[in-house]
Amino acid sequence: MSVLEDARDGDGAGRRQVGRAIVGHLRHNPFTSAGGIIVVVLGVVAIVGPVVVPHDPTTQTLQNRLQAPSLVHPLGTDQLGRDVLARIVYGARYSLGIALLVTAIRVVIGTGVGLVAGYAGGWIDEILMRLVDIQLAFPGLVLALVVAGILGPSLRNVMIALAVVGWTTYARVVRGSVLSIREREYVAAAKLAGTPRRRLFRRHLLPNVVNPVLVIATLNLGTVILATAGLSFIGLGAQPPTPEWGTMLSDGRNHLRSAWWIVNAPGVAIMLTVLGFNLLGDGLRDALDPRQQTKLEEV
Amino acid sequence: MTLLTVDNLHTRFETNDGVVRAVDGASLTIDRGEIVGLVGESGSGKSVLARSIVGLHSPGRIVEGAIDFDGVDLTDVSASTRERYRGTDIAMVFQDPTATLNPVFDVGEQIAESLRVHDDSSGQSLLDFCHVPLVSDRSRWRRHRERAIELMDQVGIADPEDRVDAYPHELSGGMCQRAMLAIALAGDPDLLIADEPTTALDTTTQARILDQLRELAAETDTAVLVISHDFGVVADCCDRVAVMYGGEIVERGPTDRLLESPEHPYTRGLLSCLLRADDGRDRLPTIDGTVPERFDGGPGCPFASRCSYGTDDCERRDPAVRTVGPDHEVACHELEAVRADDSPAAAGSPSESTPPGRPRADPSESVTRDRARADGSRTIDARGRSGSAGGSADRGDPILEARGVTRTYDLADSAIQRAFGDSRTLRAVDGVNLAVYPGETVGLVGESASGKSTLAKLLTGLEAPSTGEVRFDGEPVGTVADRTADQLADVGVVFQNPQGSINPRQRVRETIAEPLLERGWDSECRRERVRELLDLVGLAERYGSRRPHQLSGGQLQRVAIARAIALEPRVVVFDEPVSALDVSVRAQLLNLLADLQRRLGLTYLVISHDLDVVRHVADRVAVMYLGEIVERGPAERVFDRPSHPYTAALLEAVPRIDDGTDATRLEGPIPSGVDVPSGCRFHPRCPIAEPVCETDEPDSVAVGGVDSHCHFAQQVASRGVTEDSESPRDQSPDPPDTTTR
Amino acid sequence: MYLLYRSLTATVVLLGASVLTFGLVYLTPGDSAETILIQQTGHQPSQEAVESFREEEGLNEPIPVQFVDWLGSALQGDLGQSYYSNRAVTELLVQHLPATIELAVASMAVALLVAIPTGVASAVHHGSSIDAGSQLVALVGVSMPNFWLGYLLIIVFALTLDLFPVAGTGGLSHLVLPAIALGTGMAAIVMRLVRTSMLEVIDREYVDGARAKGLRGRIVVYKHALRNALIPVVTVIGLQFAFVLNGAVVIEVVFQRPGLGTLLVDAIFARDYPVVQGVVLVIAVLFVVTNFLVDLTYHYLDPRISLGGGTR
Repeated sequence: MSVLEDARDGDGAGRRQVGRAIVGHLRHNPFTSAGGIIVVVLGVVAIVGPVVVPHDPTTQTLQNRLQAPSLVHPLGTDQLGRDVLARIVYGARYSLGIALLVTAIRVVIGTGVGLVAGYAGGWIDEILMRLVDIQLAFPGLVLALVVAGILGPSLRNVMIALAVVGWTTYARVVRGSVLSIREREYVAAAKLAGTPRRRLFRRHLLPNVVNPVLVIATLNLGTVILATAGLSFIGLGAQPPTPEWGTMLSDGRNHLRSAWWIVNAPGVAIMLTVLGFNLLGDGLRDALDPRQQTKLEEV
Repeated sequence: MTLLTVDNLHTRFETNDGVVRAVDGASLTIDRGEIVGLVGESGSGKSVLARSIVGLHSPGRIVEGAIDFDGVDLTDVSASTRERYRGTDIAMVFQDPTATLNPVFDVGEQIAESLRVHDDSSGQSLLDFCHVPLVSDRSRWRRHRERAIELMDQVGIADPEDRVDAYPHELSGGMCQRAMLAIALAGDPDLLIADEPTTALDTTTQARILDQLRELAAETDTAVLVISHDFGVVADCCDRVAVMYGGEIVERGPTDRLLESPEHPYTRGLLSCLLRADDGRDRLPTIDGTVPERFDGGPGCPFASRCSYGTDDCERRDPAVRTVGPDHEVACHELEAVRADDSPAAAGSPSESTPPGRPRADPSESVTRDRARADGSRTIDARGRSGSAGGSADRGDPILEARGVTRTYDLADSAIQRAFGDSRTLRAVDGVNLAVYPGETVGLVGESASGKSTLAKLLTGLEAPSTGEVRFDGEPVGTVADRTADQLADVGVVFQNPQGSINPRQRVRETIAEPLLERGWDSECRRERVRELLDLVGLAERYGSRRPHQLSGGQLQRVAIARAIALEPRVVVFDEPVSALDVSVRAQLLNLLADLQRRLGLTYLVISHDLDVVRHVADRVAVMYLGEIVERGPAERVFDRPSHPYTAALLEAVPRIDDGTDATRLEGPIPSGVDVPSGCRFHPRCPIAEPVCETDEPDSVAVGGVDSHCHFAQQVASRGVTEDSESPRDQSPDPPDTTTR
Repeated sequence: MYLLYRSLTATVVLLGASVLTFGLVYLTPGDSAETILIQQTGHQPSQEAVESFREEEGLNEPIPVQFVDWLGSALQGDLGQSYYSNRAVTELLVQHLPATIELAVASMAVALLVAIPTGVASAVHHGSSIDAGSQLVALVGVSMPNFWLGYLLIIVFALTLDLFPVAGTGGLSHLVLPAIALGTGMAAIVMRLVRTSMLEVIDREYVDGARAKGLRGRIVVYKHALRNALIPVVTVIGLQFAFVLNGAVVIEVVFQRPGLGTLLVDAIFARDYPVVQGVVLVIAVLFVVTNFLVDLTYHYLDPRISLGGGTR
């Protein structure tokens, strides 16, 4: 009832504040707004693009193979005569979808483990963090490569592998913020007010965890896209004829000299997408970093 | 002979929100060998002025005025010429010595670096300065090291041969500040600027650093500019003082004159806000309002908005600088009006401000109270201050009590390290008994690391004692998690740092309402009560919807107080409630505490390292040292005639504007609670220690109503403190008082 | 004490890592012996063949026993035989390791040489066009897939300008393009880090203190500021070694270098599990040992961290 009401009011205000900070930053920083534009355009392309593009991404027209960019095929055709632009546009769906899904799973697992470790402390913390350490003993992509490889080459398995491998960052960051906030005096004051653990958690700890997680997740979207493309490039991810950017790059490797557009079109697409998320993530970090905020307000 | 003349200096910062005029027409002179003080509250522009002199005011710009140093206008020379003056001609010591020393180089290297600059300021090469083996000049390195040791010895660092290779983190704060002094002296400067040189240090350390500054000025004929927010510090060591406000110097003159007959209303206000040993428990005079965040820089006196003599003229026209005595200048339009107020009654109190937190209605009669305490079983004990100096008979039973509490901390970082047998423990609080009786104010004093904050956490239940117990109303109580809602509601806590104790994401009203929310108040009652509380602590209602970063430190501390008293507690524990605040704000808050206590019948436990604060508020005092209470008793008695040498030393170290006596100084820093000294814990630093102190732990001795843990309590008490310094030794000791036994 | 503690945790981590390495194989859907035999022979094996293969490879033992056996021989340097080439896994590893180490070291060198001066310059001229430019370049560097950069380099410098060989191993010339392709991303990451770390440090009071002594700007920056700024950078460089190892796998495929990466990829597709386990274990050991060494250098960089006790 009233308690909930107040908590909601608090959260709502917090969200509005965060929203304002982000929007304010977007407007003032050209880098961040560029990132935002890239991401929005990409989203639109992924959703609407397939309807608009005239060619089918998988139809092979062998007599049209390896055609240079032209009006009919703005980005040329590949070794099987498929329209590269169509494949890029369809590929955006795969890249964004996978990135969102994998990141979401990572956030859920990682934040959960981090909260538990940071809040419980003691042996639970010690065990969870050693598990994280063990997983961190493997370079992420190598581990994902092996997991995906053993599970068998497919996009689904690549997603499983990437999700299982990448949650550790969240766990560490979330645990760190929980530990530092737990020591703040306002948490002590809340305890003195008789705030039960669960509400303490929700009112004072969780909001402080949201920001770093949001920032990492945004940057992570880019990393996941790179990793997916990398695994597909090696041959573990999307299988032909799926129009996935990494696979397309790999398809072009035998035609570097004769058909440069086959590798470069997906290369540019990947780079722009990742760049968009990185720009946005950097901007978010600057906007949400409380230290930066106080700095801005002090001056 | 004049060494430095700052003339009509303007330093400005361009920000997104407009121009900040940090220094706005300040003028100042310093002669060779002279110590000049620059006093002002935070935001007055004193640090920017100092930085402008050394040329470290970036990203600010000097837009007008001159800095004449030894015949050269420093605002008029190239950056590289300016650089050459730094270190060799003008040296600077900063506020926080532990932050100003580079953590990754040893102290000797950092002093040697200054020597290298001094040797050859034009030919600095990176190779030399990084001391690359083979390339570097070995003999020069050895020479500089020798000289560094000499300098360390000169600034009073014991065992300089060992300390020369120490890293800053291995030294205490006081030691680091001495090292900073050595670095400054290495360049053999003509002018030394010390920006809040002792603010980050304990009182006992502060006293020794100020002594050192005075000695250096006398020995080396170096001019010193001491910047401080603390009039006591400046009065203690300066020949002349300048008072700064709003980027301008409002008054300057010889220290004695300024202290005896201050002319500017701001100077008068600042001086009257100071806590004096003899002003008892009266309401403190205050200066209305706070330093504005930004001065508009238009014409007029910057102080006009807060000045009780302010006229339209003050707002419109810059006040002319008037000479009011030998070397004594003031910038004020209304000097005549100010002086006319010098009737005996109003002396030292230019602004008869209303109590900042005058409550409108007695909260015990308020509607919300009944809703809050539906059980209605408790009534507020609204009796005034009890004559608590008396024996325990008329005090009733203690509300809050610590019985033999000890708190130890494991120093091992992790479970695995502990499993490896890392069993170092820190004894933060060691067998302390302390009782707080209804209606009284108990003061708890001690240097940092004495365990006073830990004791507060134990009493409030934020931590559990390792042994011993905490009692509330005679019943043993556990930690916060174990206390009943009533028990929690009965104890309020205010922490030192309001910025840290208030969630930056919540609005003020959410912060204040938190305890109410947990007590199950509905939203209408909460709103009503928050309004009442804001009024009670002297904040306008509109502050309820502000966020913490929009409030000043003093306002935030009021919010914290409102939260602490929200549920009408019986006891409030204050952990350094005013340490982070400027003097004028401090006075306002201390008045607020007194008002609240009177109106609400509160019992206070006030923890502070500041003896003046405790003397001002407390009925009884406990002095803590290294986890133990070494002396306790009625406040007046303890402060006027301490019977423990530690208390005596603490008192002597407080810089006073009204005495100039050379006091005994405590040597060395407080030892760590990991290796507690044998016998009396204080013996390694005690000026009167005898062999017995090293071996036997002293029992409690009762001296004139005071409990002292000292083998020589009687002798210490009979000697008195500096007020009696004319005849320190020929007083007969008080007869032992047995009433407390 | 700290050394002991740190070695212990490193050992625990390595032990855990070997469990993980070993356990990975059991993720295989279906009967692994059967799958392997299909891959090896190309047709459905008889029941007897599967049984005898299991017997031979010890796959009938309980899993913990298999693990102890495997770890025991691994500690003696015996990681089993490849299912295909009939060569010892250790021998394959020894043969492929140098190419990877070579690539890792070269790309790290490229990265650090570029990143540190750029990062410092960017921080010192904070907010200038130099800063904005190098930040943008770094962002693009971070966002570029290294395999695409590899192809770009091949197209421009090998196919068009004919300055370097397209692929393979050999002298220094074979190393240049892969090292740049792999080092660029690393350089971008380190540059951004140096910049933030320098910005963090450059407002510190000790930097003002150094200026107040009369030290020249360059000495203040490179001696007082950078030395402190490098402390967090070094940790990340240790962790970024993972980035190098990750990237090495892909880059080796791009440039067809016979390193651990190509060995691993080939083994995965061939389901040559002893080789997969061997490569993964070696990479984990490399990574853990690198970070262990980085931790040890910490003491020299930051005297506040002592090897004798805990922090402070």
